[in-house]
Amino acid sequence: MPSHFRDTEQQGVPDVITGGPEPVQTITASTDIARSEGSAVDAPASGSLYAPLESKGKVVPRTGTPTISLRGVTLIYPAQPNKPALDDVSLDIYPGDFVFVVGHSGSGKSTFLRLLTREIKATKGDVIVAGQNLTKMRNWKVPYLRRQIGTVYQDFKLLPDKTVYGNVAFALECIGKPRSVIEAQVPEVLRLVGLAEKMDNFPDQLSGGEQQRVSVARAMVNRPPLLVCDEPTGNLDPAISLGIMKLLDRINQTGTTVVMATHDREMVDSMRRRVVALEAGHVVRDQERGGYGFYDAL
Amino acid sequence: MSCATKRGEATVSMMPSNLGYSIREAGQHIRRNWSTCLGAIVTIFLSLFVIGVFILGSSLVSNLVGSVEDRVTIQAFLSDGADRAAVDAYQSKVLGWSNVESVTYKSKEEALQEYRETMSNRNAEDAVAALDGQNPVPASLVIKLDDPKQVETTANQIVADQEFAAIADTPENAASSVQYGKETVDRLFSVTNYIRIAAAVLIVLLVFVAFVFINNTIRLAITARRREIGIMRLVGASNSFIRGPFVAEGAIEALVGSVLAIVSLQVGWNFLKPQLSNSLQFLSFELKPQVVIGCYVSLVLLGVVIGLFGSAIAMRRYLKV
Ligand SMILES: Nc1ncnc2c1ncn2[C@@H]1O[C@H](COP(=O)(O)OP(=O)(O)OP(=O)(O)O)[C@@H](O)[C@H]1O
Ligand SMILES: [Mg+2]
Repeated sequence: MPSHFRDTEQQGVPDVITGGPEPVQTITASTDIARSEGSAVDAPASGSLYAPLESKGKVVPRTGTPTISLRGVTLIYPAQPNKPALDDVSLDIYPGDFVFVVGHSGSGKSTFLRLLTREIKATKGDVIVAGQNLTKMRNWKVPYLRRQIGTVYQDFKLLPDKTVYGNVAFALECIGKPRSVIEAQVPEVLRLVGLAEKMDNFPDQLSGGEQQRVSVARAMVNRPPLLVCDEPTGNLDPAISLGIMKLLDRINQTGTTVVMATHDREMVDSMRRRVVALEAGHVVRDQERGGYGFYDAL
Repeated sequence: MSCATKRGEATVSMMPSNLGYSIREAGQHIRRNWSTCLGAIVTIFLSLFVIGVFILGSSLVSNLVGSVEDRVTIQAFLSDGADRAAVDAYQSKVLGWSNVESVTYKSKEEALQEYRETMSNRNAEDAVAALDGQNPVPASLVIKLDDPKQVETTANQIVADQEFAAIADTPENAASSVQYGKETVDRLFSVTNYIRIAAAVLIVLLVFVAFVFINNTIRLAITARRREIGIMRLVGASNSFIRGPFVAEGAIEALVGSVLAIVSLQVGWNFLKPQLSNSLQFLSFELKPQVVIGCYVSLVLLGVVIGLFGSAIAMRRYLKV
């Protein structure tokens, strides 16, 4: 197995994620992508999935326009009019960033992520993603926004009656990609996540970690510049979680901005990336090379 | 095998429409849930069939009524020796009545000529020839009415009129000099009215039922594909793409239903027409091809409207952005 993963990294990673000759629809400024891409190439194609993380503690320079920008965002669910799920949140996330969003259950992590994909609209304030103000965005434009954002969820959201290949291909079929593109990109991205050999398996023939890798593959197959993950390792045991984490890290190495909500203290502590901590809808900490922090005492 | 070349080929044929996908998905759902879909198809078929029967039937009846209404005139036969001045005077008197549209004088010669024409296919020539140049057909006043329903009242009025008795063909019994097609008229009016009302009610009901059925099957289809729809949203499928399979399913069911209705109408008509023509030889049972084609086209259109509307409403409730 390790040799297989090494193989994937050398061939697949830079090609799939940054896109070859076909221009990537960019959320980030293209120069930023190019810069991050350089760093990905520099990073040695290191061993297996379980090798030490090269990018530990990496800080993304705060230059250019932010990929994500929240300005005084308040979100009140109609069901809870007196308790805002997010209260006056302002935050910038730059291209190539890797951001952990941490906080207690009910602190507003999922709400924050749902704002980014415009599953919900801010009650007040502006959410700007890829230069577009989602608060003012027309409904019909939302699908085109989502094509630029990959999403990964705790419950995988795979279709049980489609194979691994079918599940990933479905994401491209849905947005009207021709068959030739699908046939080229799906095997590539499955190689990237290390599932090339299980292409014809159905989801219930896979382990939880493998299923989650399928959903990461589906999120990445259209080469989105932004990846949003809501507790992607919430259902997985620690060793498998680390595998997923490294996959996401590797994807981030190639320039993809990753925003990830998590409860996994060990993972946050070991990665030493940017940490945004929420509590009752407020940002209580925003720290480069942060740890899970605060909650150590609990 | 380099990835670059593969992608190069791929960019050549971009953006296919999702029509094929939609039809495939719809077909799959229909195959898996054929009993519900069959229900929708049958209700569409039934309502369109009844509508078709109504359209064709009323076109047929209005042809018939048109020819019968022409015949709803009163003929007042005049004696051969009637004074022409008296006839003229009586003609203008009747014309003065409020419900009378026109009164024409038909001479003996005209009447005979008409008799020849209408009877020609029943060997009238022989009968006429047997008359040896005599003309037994009386002259008459032909009275047309504004409202054909008043025919009986007006006829009685003429019979009771002393002025008419003076010039009537059979002065001793004026009633037998006055003729009109009473029975046919009565029946046609009541029957067509009832048929119209019943058909309208039936059509409204059936369209509603068909609509509910389509709506239901599409709702089922949506529930069956909930997960898929969720994922489609996630990956940025456009709303029209998500709707595609459901629109296609509604349209397919409606189309199948309307084709069935058209085929049944055509078969039924082919079977009925010879029988009708046989038993009622004096009436013409011809439908203009334009009417038939127009009817079929509007059935298909109506079916598709029901199908699309039914699925659109189902989707509106279940596919919010
Ligand atoms: N659809 C909704 N309607 C009403 N209130 C909601 C809704 N979704 C979330 N909330 C409330 O908003 C607050 C934030 O919820 P959110 O799901 O963002 O928390 P979270 O940080 O993701 O929690 P967890 O770690 O358990 O996933 C909670 O108080 C929750 O009860
Ligand atoms: Mg959550």
